[in-house]
Amino acid sequence: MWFFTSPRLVFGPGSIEFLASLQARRALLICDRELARRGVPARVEEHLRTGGGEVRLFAEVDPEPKVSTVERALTAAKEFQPDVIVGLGGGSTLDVAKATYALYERPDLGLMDLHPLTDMTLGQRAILVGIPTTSGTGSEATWAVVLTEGEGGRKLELAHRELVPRWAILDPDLAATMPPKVTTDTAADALCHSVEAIASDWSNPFSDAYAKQAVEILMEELPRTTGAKGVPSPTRESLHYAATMGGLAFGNAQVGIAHAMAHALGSKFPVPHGRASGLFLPYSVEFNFDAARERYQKLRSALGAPHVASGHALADRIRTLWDQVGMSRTIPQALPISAPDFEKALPDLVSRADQSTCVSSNPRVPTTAELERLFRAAWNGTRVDF
Amino acid sequence: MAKFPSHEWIALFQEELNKNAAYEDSARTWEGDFIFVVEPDGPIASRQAFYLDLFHGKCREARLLTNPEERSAAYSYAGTYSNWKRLIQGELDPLKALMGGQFKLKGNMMKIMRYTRAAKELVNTASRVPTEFQ
Repeated sequence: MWFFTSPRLVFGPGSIEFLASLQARRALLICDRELARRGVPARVEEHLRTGGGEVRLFAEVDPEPKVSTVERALTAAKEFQPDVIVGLGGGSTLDVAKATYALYERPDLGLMDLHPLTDMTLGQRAILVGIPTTSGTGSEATWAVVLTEGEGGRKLELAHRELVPRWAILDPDLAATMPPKVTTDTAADALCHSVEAIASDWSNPFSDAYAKQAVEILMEELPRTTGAKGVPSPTRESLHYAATMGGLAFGNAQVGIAHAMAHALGSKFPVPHGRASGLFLPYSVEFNFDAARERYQKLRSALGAPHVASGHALADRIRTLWDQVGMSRTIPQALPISAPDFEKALPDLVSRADQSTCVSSNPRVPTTAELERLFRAAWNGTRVDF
Repeated sequence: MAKFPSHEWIALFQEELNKNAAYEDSARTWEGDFIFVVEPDGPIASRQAFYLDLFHGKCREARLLTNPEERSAAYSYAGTYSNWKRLIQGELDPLKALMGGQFKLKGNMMKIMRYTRAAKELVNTASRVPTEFQ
């Protein structure tokens, strides 16, 4: 017995105008500082105010958001008493919005209660709307929230089915101002979500359908993101929808060790999440392939039969794509750390990856020794042959 | 072959678990005891329970309780006999079964979510015990 959970999707250029139909009395709009600096929230506020409602902006989300960010957003929510909470931004912002929404609805709960076994019954005071402005995280379509416990702390991986937003508005116009490198990093994350969902022990026919479609779109469209004239509008739109498809896939099937390793790396060093998950994907595919050979064959139509013949073939297909779009293939390419710093951090990286919830649904569960070898392979850029 | 549930089965399980290097690796920092509760259905007419003391990758004590309320533990993991059978036969994932409602867990969930690999190895070990279902 399993479930497939999805928000109601509103999509298309200009689809943020749908916000007016919510007739919010008080809307709390959560975004990050950079988005606010670029004036993006004003485009959303306009529609939220159409029905005469008030809007309060909370623009204090940072990359890799901390527990303290949620605490501040929750204070704002308690003061303002919104009937609509909108998360506008990338994965960090959407995760903060989801956690804030849950704790605003249920003041008797703490963050540690946001796990799948808690009886929640949310939606009594407000509705949650997710509006992604990047094309990769898929957070608008998932039950997961990732927060950091303090400076350099572990990633808290929280999840509950009721954290899936009521509405997800996929307006590709909002992603149009994304810098090219962010476009690549976030799309790499979407590809990682989709490939890991396909291989997951928790994969199912519904998650497979979204994952396959997302992989097909991403493999075709990602190379078009690097042209001198910027990202073409049709590509931008396709990537935006593919990211949500990837979110629907992994949100209902889980991710795997590439994400476990990316969360570990991201908790120790300042690296964009998509760049980290993307760089680990080929290594995880090589490690997993024999344990999930049948599942990877589902990518045959998207990639062509020769590319799913072996773990190395599939990993090489991904590496070729990374070379085409300028994605990092190794840890030193992704972030400037020295070999001694990496060696010093390695035991902690292994421990954090080992204790990630992403490990348990991976088709081949690695030992700590294998995780260490995987990190070393990703540092050296060597094939995984164990 | 040992019948599930029985004194013989839990003794074999403890022996297998203490031989399992993958479990030892995954649970090397785990401290916490469990009660596994088998709720009656099918051929089982009454509740039965096992006690397991799990510490740093080893099982220090494992026994069939004469009464499920005989002692308490940090965690309890409960499911019907039919679902235990499916779990031991590898047809159910221990965490997915929790989220699907086929099993109920009591105890600190956030702590256990950091040991999902150990949970999987516990079940893998149970699958290796030559088991006769009633």
